[in-house]
Amino acid sequence: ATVRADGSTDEVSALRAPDSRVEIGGGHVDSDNGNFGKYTGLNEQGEYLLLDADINRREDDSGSWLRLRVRNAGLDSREIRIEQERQGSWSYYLEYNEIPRFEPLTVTTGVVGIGGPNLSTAGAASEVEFESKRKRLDLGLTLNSLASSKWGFSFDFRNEEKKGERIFGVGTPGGNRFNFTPEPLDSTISLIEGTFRYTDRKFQFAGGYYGTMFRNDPKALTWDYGDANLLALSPLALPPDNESHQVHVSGGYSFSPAVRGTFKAAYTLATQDDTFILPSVSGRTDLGGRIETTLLQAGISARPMPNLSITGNLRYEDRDDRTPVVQYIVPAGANNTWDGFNEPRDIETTHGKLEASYGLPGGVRAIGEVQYEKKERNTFTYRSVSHRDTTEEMTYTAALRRTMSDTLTGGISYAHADRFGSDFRQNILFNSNAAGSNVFAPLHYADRQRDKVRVSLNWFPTDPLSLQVYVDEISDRYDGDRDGSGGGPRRGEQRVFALDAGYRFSENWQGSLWYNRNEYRWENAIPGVAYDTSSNEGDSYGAGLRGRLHARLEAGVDLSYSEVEDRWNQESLSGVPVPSQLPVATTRQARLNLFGNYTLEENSGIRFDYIYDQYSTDDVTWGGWGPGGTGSYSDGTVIREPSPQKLHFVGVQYFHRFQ
Amino acid sequence: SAQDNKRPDLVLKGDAACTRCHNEGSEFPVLAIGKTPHGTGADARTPTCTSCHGVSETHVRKPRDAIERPRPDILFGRGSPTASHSQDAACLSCHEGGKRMHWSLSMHAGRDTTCTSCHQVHAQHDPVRDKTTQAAVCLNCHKEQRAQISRPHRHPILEGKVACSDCHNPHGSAGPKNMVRDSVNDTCYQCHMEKRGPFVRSHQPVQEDCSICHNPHGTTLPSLLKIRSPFLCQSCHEPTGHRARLAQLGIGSTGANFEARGCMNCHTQIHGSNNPQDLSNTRGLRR
Repeated sequence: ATVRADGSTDEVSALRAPDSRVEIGGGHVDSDNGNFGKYTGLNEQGEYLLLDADINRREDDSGSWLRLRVRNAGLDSREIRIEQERQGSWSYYLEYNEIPRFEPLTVTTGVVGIGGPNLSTAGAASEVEFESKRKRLDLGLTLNSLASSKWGFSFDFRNEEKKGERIFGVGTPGGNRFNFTPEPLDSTISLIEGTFRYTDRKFQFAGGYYGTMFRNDPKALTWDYGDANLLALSPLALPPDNESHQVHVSGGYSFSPAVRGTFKAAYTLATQDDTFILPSVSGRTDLGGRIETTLLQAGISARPMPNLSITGNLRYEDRDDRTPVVQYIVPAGANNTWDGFNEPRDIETTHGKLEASYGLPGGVRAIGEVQYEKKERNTFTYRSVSHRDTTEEMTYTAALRRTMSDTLTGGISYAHADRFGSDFRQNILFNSNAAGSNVFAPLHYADRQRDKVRVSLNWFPTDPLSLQVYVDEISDRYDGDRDGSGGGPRRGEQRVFALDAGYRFSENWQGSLWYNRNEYRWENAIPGVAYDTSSNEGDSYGAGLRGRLHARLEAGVDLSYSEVEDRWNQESLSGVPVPSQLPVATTRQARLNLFGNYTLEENSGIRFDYIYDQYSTDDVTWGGWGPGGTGSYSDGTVIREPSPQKLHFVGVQYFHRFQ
Repeated sequence: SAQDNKRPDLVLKGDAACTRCHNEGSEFPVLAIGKTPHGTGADARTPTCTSCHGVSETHVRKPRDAIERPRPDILFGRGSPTASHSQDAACLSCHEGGKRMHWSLSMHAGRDTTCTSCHQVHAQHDPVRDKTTQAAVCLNCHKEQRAQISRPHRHPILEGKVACSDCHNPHGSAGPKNMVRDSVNDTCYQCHMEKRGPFVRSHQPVQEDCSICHNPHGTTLPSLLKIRSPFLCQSCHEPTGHRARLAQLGIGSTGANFEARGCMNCHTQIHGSNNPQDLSNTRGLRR
């Protein structure tokens, strides 16, 4: 081997130099699909260019890097990132990234003008493709150590355009008729962030500005389908322009190797003063929206004894909505649950946490934790949803964990949380001040008892075998009624069970198996009518195998399958039978992925991919919505989710590696 | 030893003592660190082997009376006898600033998750720093989310277009649940800013916390809802008028509260509306 000036050989030089790789080829999808390709662009039958690159160059003398990443260049999900860096001095990157979303539903409609602000129904019904595509242009600039090794500055800018259409509709206030009114998407999100940093061994500090801006056009959506009731709903206000400006400081100080404190303080002003799409009786031409949010956080971690660790954290956030309160609607009569004023929302959150962890023999740690959270929210005299000013929650956790072991690690924990709060305010009606409905404690306001158990085990019984078991169970009991009627939120449950196994058959072959069981249940009641139970139960399975079939051929296979059942049961509380039960929805997904790398020469080869994907569902969201179904759009639009969807994808790419 | 002094360093300063054994044929090859920023010698901050692993005197020169070679002073990974905070300290001695400032208070640190639980320091390609492979690293522990991210209604995590770290800072943050911004909503607004408002007509839970109604990791329900309409809506709204109606297929006498967009068939602007008028009684987030 050639010996270099620094004494190394070509072989060593290759082992320490960054690698680069370019892949080019083609792929074929054998059928149109809604699910498989909705985020990649592989949603239509046809051929696709596959082009990827990962180029990394470094000048060893200067420490300068050039990195170029190209991914999915031939697809609608293409992204390109170029980055230059003088390591330890400065760096910058530019990134272009497209995130498409092709609507997996098929739409047959006579609505014309889709994608624009004015819709009509002059056209003949035909199938329409919906696409929203976010084009994200990231511009990043990072400058480090300009003044010294301790000071740094970074600047980040992201601009994201979102264009396309979204499935949308409006419904009549009377007559139970619905129109298909796809929403135009043409908005831009911009994020700008500049941060100063100071870093030394004991003290780290960062401060800066974070600004965000949302711009949307058009501002309103109108339609005229010749239906007077539905025309009365036009125009519809699309999301208004808004922006925010934040200044923040944060830091950390290591008082000693065993004691460290951190903090953050931030002030954010968010505004929304976009011009109204229609005149207002208030005389205002815009909302004048203004929300000021103050965040204060401080925490400390310490190891006062070798076996004892303590952490404490306090976080306070005050969201102060200072939007002017104005009467936008003048109610015509009495006994309304509203008075026509807008309703700015103040939310004040205080969260504290104290945790102690003590090391026991055998590499086991005992952990005890107490958390407290208090939320204070404002309200208004007249409202349609029950309100209490304050909710508080105490959470107590005890856990045992073992991490320092070659053969068995994991933990078991139990947590109990108790949420309670101030008295609920009486709902009263506008003008008459008569008592309104005071029945439900809303989901996120209601008293709640939560128990949570989690077990995780990582077992390595022999060198080639590893096993993981994970169990997580949460049980929530709500006091969801305010009047003893048994209404409102009642119970929530969640169960997760996971089992993983990995096995290394030889130096060249390894395999894995996994299983997930996820269960969620929610129970709610309408007093005197019915209680309902929503459940979602899913089983997911996976298997993988990787290995070397031949000196030139590496190959692998991944197989996954999931089956999820959604059930909605309604049981009568009135004695009057529930008219008809809702159908069970079963969703199944299966995927087989085969791949291989065949080496042609030392630095080149062929990559092969084969995917079989199958998706099916009998979900009724759109299943009965159309001619002959139980409901429909009165303009004749039909929306369907194709099921089952089956497809084969084959891709072949030539790759070249170099340094 | 004199022999080590003659042997050239191959990647890092002073690594000759290590690379005489840890070559590519050894059980623990180390030269690939040269492909990484840690192996960029022109950067004066670049560590040496002992910066991270300690001087490890007895590992380099095995005592005569030792049967097995003692391990390095600081060892990383599964089965390491080094305390997790000591492992982390080796990394934090350089990396404690910036996005890792709050590490000591993070749930990961509190549960003995170390830097090398997720990061491959010696490899050019660190899967957790690549958004196409990051999720697989996180899902090694976060099993609930492993199933959720494959549900039909989800973020494009499997396609590598959204990464876990777009929303969570695993190194700890001042926000809840390691959010990259100061709150759940501020994190969601990074991409869904049209929901921010404020609006003439606002919906309280929307302003408080997106995750009251949505599960961002994936569901079988459209729009990543946790519970289907009308049951979700009926978990808060007083049971008067049409709000107390049973869920039913189609339209019928109950309105279209289950199929198509459910309650949102009429209450289309569920995140808030900036329309100041109330034509046709539409103040209920309907236009």
